[in-house]
Formats: sequence, structure tokens, C-alpha cells
Amino acid sequence: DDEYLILIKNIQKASLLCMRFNFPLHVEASAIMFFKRFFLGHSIMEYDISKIMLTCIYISCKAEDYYQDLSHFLAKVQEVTTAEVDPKEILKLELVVLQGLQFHMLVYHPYRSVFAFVHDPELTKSLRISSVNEIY
Amino acid sequence: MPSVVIHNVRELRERYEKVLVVGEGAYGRVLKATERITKEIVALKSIPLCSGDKEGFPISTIREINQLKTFNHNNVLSLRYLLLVSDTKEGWATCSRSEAYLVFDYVPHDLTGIISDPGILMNEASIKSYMQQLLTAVVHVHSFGSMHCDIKSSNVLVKYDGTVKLADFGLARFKNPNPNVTYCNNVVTRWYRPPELLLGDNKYNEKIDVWAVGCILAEFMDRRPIYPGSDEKDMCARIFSMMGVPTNSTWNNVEGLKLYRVMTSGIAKGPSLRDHFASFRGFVVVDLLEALLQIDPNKRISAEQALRHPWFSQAPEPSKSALKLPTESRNESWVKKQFAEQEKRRMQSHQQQMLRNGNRKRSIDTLNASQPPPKKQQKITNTVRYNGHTITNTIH
Repeated sequence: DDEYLILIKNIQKASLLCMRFNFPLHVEASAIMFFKRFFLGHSIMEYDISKIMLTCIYISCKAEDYYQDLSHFLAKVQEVTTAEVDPKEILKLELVVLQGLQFHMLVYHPYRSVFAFVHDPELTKSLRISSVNEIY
Repeated sequence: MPSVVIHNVRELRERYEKVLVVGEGAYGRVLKATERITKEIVALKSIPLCSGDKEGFPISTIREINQLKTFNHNNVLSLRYLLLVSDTKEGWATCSRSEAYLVFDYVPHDLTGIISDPGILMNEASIKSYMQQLLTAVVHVHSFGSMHCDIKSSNVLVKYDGTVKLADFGLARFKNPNPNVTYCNNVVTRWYRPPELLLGDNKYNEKIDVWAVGCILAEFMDRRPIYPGSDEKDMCARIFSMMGVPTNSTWNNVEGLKLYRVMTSGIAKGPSLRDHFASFRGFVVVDLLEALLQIDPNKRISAEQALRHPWFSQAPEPSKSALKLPTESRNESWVKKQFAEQEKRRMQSHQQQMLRNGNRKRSIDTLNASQPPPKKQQKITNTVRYNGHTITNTIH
């Protein structure tokens, strides 16, 4: 339905944003996961969806050990978008989102394992590196 | 794991009874409380959330929650749920004085308390059991590619039945698969900090936990911490005087570490580890201790290997219940309280002595009485030892 389409659209936006920021893949993946999880329990009418998106990215940075200062993070956001974001609002939403996630902040995605696999010294000897890197 | 939201302090009081502060640290307070409905005793670890804070929900807490959710082991203290408290109606996100609590099972004892209570007589079977349980917990943590980074005797809790629970994952982190990633060097409470950290290494691995476990084993044998250094330099002096100063030939690339020059200068050779534990000569346990307290992290055994050490399969077999634990809790705050009381008593006896000394001018007869009885002398030596505990607890 429409709500679902709007979410998909926003997920694409989030992914684009993370790419612009040069965030690692696992940060991006977790952010999207948080976003999806949050809207399992909430309607898109309740909160400003783009701000929730930014908050999800911010929490993901914290949870995935890729921490950025909030001011630094928002400065980056300002660079690529025109949106005016108040840091206080993000902080307020952060707790809302965390609660919406029920503090389930563990996301199991394949990026870490694939990274370890690619960088396994035993493997790189036997495989051609370029082909593995392509998969990654 | 559900999170529970409570809107004001009154509701908190309705939910819990007999709320007591049992510990305080750099992170916040730990409360003990009884849940009114289920009558279960829980420990609440408070996390202050102030809206004036620039960075929002503390990242260390996010890490701790993530860590705790990963583990599921009988010897790791598990998180029950999260409690969010605010004291205004608008919801806790907008409130300036909101607090979050991590709720755990309440565990009465910890190893600091058990080791320093002179009323508890240690036996080998129970020490073996505690060490075995601690090591299984550490193996479990390491198997997820995680490091605890703050193992010390006060973070190893013990239930009445002798079950060990590893607690406080506030500094724990997952290892990055990229071997070139550096970590924060300032982890682990000083007395349990391994030489690679003291020398300024920031590419350490899970072996730092093994060192700390070794320190706890030594603490069991000695009934006092093995390296109670007053600062980093003193720690190095204590460790290297016992083990010898490492060089490139004994520890690959040690001289390249950041603080190598500063830390290794002017160290006198002291008694070796085996000499220190001369009373244990011929016991297999010294062998294990030596393997755990190996200064080169690459040569130090892993927690898994330690668990397979012959000491654990030897008689006496590890037994949880071999040690009768008191019903009153013996934990870090108990040790601190004892220490404070002793200090008070010492002050009092000191004052009395001063008074008596004043009287001595008038009467020679009181001279004999002014000498402190040997019992009090004993207490003074204890005091010095406990003093270290209070010092370590201020740094985190």
C-alpha cells in the first residue's frame, strides 16, 4: 500500500545519504534495519519520517562502532541536503526510536563475516583477490 | 527483552520496595530492590540521561546493551529488561531529569568481598570451581569475537550457591575483523591491566582478558591483588621486576610500542613469580598462573586452552558448594565499609593513645597500657591493603 511505498522511497534516500557520507556498509544496513523495525510499530503519520531516518542513521553510527559527533554528523547532512535540522530534535527522537526498537540494536548482517573472509590471509593466497573483492 | 516505561518516581516506588543503593561508580549508581509483585530481588544500574547532553543516549550504554543481548550463558549476568523513568507527564524524551535503568538479577557476593573477608576460609575445590566458571564465561564472550575489557574481582559476582556471574560489560566491545583497527588504550582497571596496554599498545586482542583472569587467580592464592600499582609506571615496575623486562627477542616488536622507553627504565630485578608463590611450590596451579600471566600476549594462553589445563582435572575436583558463603552479601561496598570502620576505629585508638600519652607525664603506670594490643596492629596492616581498593575504584 501507499505507506509501504513511502517507506521504500525513504529507505532509498537513506541509502543514498549514507553513500554520500562514505559510511561503511554495515552502518548503512543497520540504519535501514532500524528504520524498518521502527515503522513496524509506528505509523508514518506519527513522526516526521525524514527526521526519523536521520535519527536511525545516527543511532546506527553509535551501535556499529562508527561514532560521529552529533554536530559533525548534522554538518554533513547540511552539506548534501537543504533540510534544516535542530540537534535537539534528533536527540528527542533518538529516545523515541530506541524505545520503538525496544532497544533491539543488534543486526546480524553479512558484511563483517564477508570482510573477515576476504581478508583471511590463508584465503587470499589461494584465491584471486580481485574476484573476491568484486563480490564484496 | 521488553523495556518498561515509568512516568514518575512514585510509580517506581510502587513497583519496587526496599530500594537501597549498593554501589556507586563512574557510570552511575547501582540499586538493589525487591519487585513488589514477583518478590524477586533485582539490581538496577542507573544511567542518567540529561537533555542538556549533546550526544544523546550514551554510546557506552548502547554498546553494553548490544553486548549483553549477544550473550546467553549461565555464567554471564544477563540483562532482564530496561526501565525508563521520567518525572513529567509529557513523556520521558522531553524530560530533563529522566533516567534509564538496566535491570539485572541481584547477585549478593563478589570476589573482592569473598577474598578479603577473613571469615571465609578458601579451599582449593571452590577456587577451582570459581576459576573454571569464570573461564567458561570468558570463553563464551570471546567466542562472539568480543572482549570484556574490565575483568576484575569486583566484576565477578557469586551467587549463594557458588554460581559465578561475570558482570559489567560497560567497556566491552566487539573485535573488528580488520586487524589494523586500533582500539582505545585506556581500558581495564589499573591493577588488572596487562603489560601490552601499559606499554601503550592499541592493537590488543582478547588476551587482555586472560591476563586479568590470571590476576584474579593470583589474588585467590595470595588473598590480595598481585600487582597493586599506584600508577602506570608503578604497575610496570611491579610486573617487570617479577617477570623481567621484555625485549625484542622475548616479545616480538615490543620495543616498538609507544611507551616502551618510558616504562622500562630503571627497573630492579625482584623475586620471580615462582619465588613469590614459593609456598605453592610443586603445585600445578603455579604452572597455570604462569601461563595466564605471560607478559607477551602472543605467548599467553587463550581462555579455552586455560580451561583444558590439567589443574582443572586434578583432585580435588572443582566444587561450587565447597565454600560456605555467608548470607550477608560480601561485595566491594562491604569491603569499603569495613575499611571505613577500621579507619574510624584506628583513629579512635589513635586518639586514645594520644590522650594516654598526655597522661603519661603524670603517671608512669599508664605506660604499659598505652601500647596498642597486637590485634589492632593486625587491623592497621589490613587497612593499608584495603586502601588500594578505594583507589582503584575511582578510575574507570
